[in-house]
Amino acid sequence: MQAPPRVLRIGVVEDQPLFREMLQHLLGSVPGFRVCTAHGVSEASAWNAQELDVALLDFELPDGTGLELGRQLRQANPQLGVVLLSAVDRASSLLEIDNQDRWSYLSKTSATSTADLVRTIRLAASGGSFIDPNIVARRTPRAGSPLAVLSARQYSVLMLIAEGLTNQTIAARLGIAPNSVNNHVNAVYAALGFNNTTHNPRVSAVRAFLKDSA
Amino acid sequence: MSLSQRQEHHADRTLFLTSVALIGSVFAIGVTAQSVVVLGIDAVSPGTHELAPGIDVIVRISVNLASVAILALCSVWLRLCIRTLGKFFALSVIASSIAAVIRSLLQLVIGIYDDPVTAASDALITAPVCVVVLVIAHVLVTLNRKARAAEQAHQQAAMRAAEALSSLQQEELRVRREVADALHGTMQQRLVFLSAELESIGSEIVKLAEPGAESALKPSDAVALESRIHDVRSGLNSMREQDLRTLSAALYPEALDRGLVPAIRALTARIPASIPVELLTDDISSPDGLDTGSRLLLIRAAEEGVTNALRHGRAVSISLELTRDIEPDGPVYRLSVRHRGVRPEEPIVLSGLARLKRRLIDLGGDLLFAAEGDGARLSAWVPEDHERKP
Repeated sequence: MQAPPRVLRIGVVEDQPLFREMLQHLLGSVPGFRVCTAHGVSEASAWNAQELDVALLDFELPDGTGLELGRQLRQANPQLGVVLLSAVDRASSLLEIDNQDRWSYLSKTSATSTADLVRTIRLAASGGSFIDPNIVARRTPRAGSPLAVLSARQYSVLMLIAEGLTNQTIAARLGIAPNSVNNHVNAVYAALGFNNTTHNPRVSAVRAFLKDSA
Repeated sequence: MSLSQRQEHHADRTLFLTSVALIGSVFAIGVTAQSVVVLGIDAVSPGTHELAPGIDVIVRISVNLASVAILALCSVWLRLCIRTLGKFFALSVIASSIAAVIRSLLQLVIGIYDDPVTAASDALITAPVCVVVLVIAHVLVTLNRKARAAEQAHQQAAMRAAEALSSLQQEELRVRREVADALHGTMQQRLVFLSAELESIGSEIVKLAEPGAESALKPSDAVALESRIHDVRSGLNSMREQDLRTLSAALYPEALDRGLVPAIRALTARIPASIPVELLTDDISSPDGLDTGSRLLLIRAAEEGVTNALRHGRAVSISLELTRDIEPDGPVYRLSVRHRGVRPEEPIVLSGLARLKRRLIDLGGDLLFAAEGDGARLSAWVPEDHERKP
């Protein structure tokens, strides 16, 4: 007998009623998604984080920030995927988190698309860490930084790593062999100064991307 | 010594002398009165003025008052009023001894005592009494000084609070004006332009969709219209991402509530990517130990530093450094913005920075802006606990 598909439990925290209802409607209509909502930090603090798989948090909340709330929920449930939502690019605020694993950043524009939103939630639930592709595309490497010495192809690979894609998906997206992607990834890591001891190089690469791009 | 200090010393000396004179006189009269009451008027008048024994009493009081005057003169001569405690006691003993010896000599000369040994014994009792008089006067001056210092501190605190409030109000007005100008100027113009563009696109769609119109909607028209709608969308996104964000930051810097480091990081993220930026934050945790007001001043200083570097300094690189230095009066947060590009002309006029400098000084910090190498450095600092500032 086949096991029933896993239900994803999603907590949405958004203070704007219209946007909150839209997110609740979009996510609630997806089979296998169960959604609960809150309008601020105080209300969401009452949640049992153990009963959530993904928290979708607006960055600016009336009684705090999604960043702080995400930290609080992650402390209670280290496996929780946290997705921050914002109308503007504040993705650099992810640098304030010591362990950026399972933290993601989504622009509100992308959140209005069901396909993008569902992809985001599934990726976050599977333990991924990513930045909204629209935000990644708008950024450019800062002059004088390690990102500035990457070749165009290497930078493209880094952008796709930041978007949370696997090497295999990157290969398919760029139309190159997976081995070539591996080589590019290794070159990127070397340019960023990573070595064998670097903890979770993929997440560290995303941090470097956020730190040295504008 | 400043005028006010001279006035304070004068007031202290006057109080000291008045206290010595008054308390000494009370002792002078009291001692004689005690002798008259305890020993009787005949006993205190050994016969020099047999017909009028009361004159002897007056002579005794006069001698005592003269001793008080000598004590007061000695205290002026030895500058007892401004001495430290140790020196005060040593010199008080000298002044009291002089006054006591002169008193005994006067009593011998006038004939109150005819025996030098008795006069010497009297001097041994008088000297400690004189010391007591001087100590009481010193205590009164010290208490007065403390009260004056407390009053001055209170006045200074009230003045600082008034200055801080005034500069805050001026700053608030400046920011309001800036935001209002931006809303009425740039933002309104862009909205008018985007609105006109949308209206034009709408009219064109209606025109192309008219039945039987020669210019029926062609694929190329659709692409052109889509492109124009895309431009409108880009314009709106740009307004949201840049203009509104800039206005919002003018009212309240991004991430300020979370600490200096996040706020500085948000600031550096707005520097064009074409300029190399170095950010050193000395492992300062967030939130830091500063209150929001102090943080705001440091961030405003950093914003000014970055704006100057970009606008006037033609920066080819910018370095921002935040440190928390432990100084004798407590930890101090120091933020510096160094740029390489064009060295500013000297002497440097602070203009807009002067306002920030004043506000930082109000909190016990300061701001410096100076040419350095082929650029300039702006440094601003504020104590962690500005309530403890001297």
